[in-house]
Amino acid sequence: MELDVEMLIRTVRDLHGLEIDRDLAERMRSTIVPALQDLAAATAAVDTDGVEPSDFEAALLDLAPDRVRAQAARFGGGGA
Amino acid sequence: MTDGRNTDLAELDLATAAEGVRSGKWSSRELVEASLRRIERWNPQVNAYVSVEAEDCLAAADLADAAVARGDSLGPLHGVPLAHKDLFDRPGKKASCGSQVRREIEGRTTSTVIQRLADAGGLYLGGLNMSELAVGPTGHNLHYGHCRNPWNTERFTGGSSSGTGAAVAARLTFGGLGTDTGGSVRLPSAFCGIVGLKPTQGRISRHGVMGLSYSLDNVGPMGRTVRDVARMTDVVAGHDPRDVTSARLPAPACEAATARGVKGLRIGIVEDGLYLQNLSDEAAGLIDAAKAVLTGAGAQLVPVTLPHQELLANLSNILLGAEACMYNRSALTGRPLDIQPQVRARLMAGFGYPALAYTRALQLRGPILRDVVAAGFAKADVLLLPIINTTAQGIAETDVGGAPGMAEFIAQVSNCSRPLNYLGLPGLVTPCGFGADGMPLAFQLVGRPFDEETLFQAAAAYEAETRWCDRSPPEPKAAA
Repeated sequence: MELDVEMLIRTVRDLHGLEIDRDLAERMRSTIVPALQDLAAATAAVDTDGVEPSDFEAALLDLAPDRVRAQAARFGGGGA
Repeated sequence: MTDGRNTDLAELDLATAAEGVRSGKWSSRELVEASLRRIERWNPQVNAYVSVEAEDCLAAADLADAAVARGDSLGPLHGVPLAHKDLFDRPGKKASCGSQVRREIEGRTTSTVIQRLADAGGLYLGGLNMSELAVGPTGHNLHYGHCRNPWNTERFTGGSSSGTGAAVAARLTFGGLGTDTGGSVRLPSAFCGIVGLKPTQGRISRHGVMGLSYSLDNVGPMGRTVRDVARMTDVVAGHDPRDVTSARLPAPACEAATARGVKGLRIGIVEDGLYLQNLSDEAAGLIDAAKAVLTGAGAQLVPVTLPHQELLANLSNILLGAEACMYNRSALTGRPLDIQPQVRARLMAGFGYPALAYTRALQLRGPILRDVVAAGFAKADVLLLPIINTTAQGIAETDVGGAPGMAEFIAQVSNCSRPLNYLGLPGLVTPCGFGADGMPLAFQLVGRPFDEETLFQAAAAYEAETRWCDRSPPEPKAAA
């Protein structure tokens, strides 16, 4: 996966009005590129068809022990 | 002053200190004074406190003692001085957040967790050092000075709740709060040899707490013993209508769970993968010994394989980067040179993630959590995993321009902690001995969502057999 440093510098300048030097842009790239690579790998490995981001909060409660889900039902819902 | 039996009251654990106030064995004022004397001796060496509110705390202690004398109903923390990472709001008070860019901002509310501790009788003794803006796994801070590990002041504490780790370990407070976005409670707890909880996402309110990542931030209690941390968890957890992300659940009963024992408890262990990478022989040996202790107490070990783990640190990086940029945008664009270069570089990465990457990282979270829980907890009640792979390293060697290879070392310090933040699962760090260099090592217990009670159940059984919590660091020598 490629991420052009000059493009990163322009993006930060044009979208956020901030001038950054090449060294900082390189360090940003060294964080961003591996993250996007792992995101691509995760996307390929996991079926997300029809999944909303809010599924995470639902999953937390779905996967809790029975006693916790019973508490949630008494408390009025469980999720945030 | 001692309790008459040649005991420095500052050496007591939180639960014992609270019981003594309740029974009249010692006063709250005596606890505060013992802490202040110890802070005076130790803080110049460890740099854990950035502010000490001595007079206010003594005044509050006198009120607490008067309540005891009247026979009032007393909370579980009554009269016990506590200190916290310096990022919790209190009206009219400034919290530094370890930074220059936020140090002049006055709080406009009382954070829910601080209020709940006060309602339970806890006293506010001071604000504790931290990594700048809660970014950084080692505890380095150029603005307020590096926090130093009480077990060896040339070593780092772990971060970002560095001051809480150091202050609790050095007995400068009876307990305190940190926050954990990628390991910031668990890492300093592990490196400083104390107990620390990263709760389930949504379990503990974040109202009035400096935000770093909306998706990943957690408030977590840190203390000397499993029971101390359980007690603080019971006090601060539970639904908070002022935090829209707060789970609609009552507070758990973690302290009660510490008495259950582990007979028949199924403990999942991993035999390969992320958590064992770079694990030192001595850390591996102590974790093996911990497994033996738990099986000796009646637990069963169950091998488990956890999917996706190698990807989770970077998925959490995407959420952290984008959200930390949101919280800190005005400082990054308006006062960039007032932020340490390393912190600024980490925060700035958030400007570069495509929006689709961010939403995709959020979308993947639920399905990955379901996969991990299905694989990890089908046959296990709790997982026992490494949290750090070696003891705390030198502050100088891990600073900017330090020893060769240290950038890589720092990059992987949080490898075992960040997956839990992405997954939202609870993790409890428990000390498990010392390396050959005399520095603490630890493991983490990981549970199903909202199952903090089982973590405390297992940790308490382990602690009862080993009592690493009874060891305190030797007083550091004053600088020449």
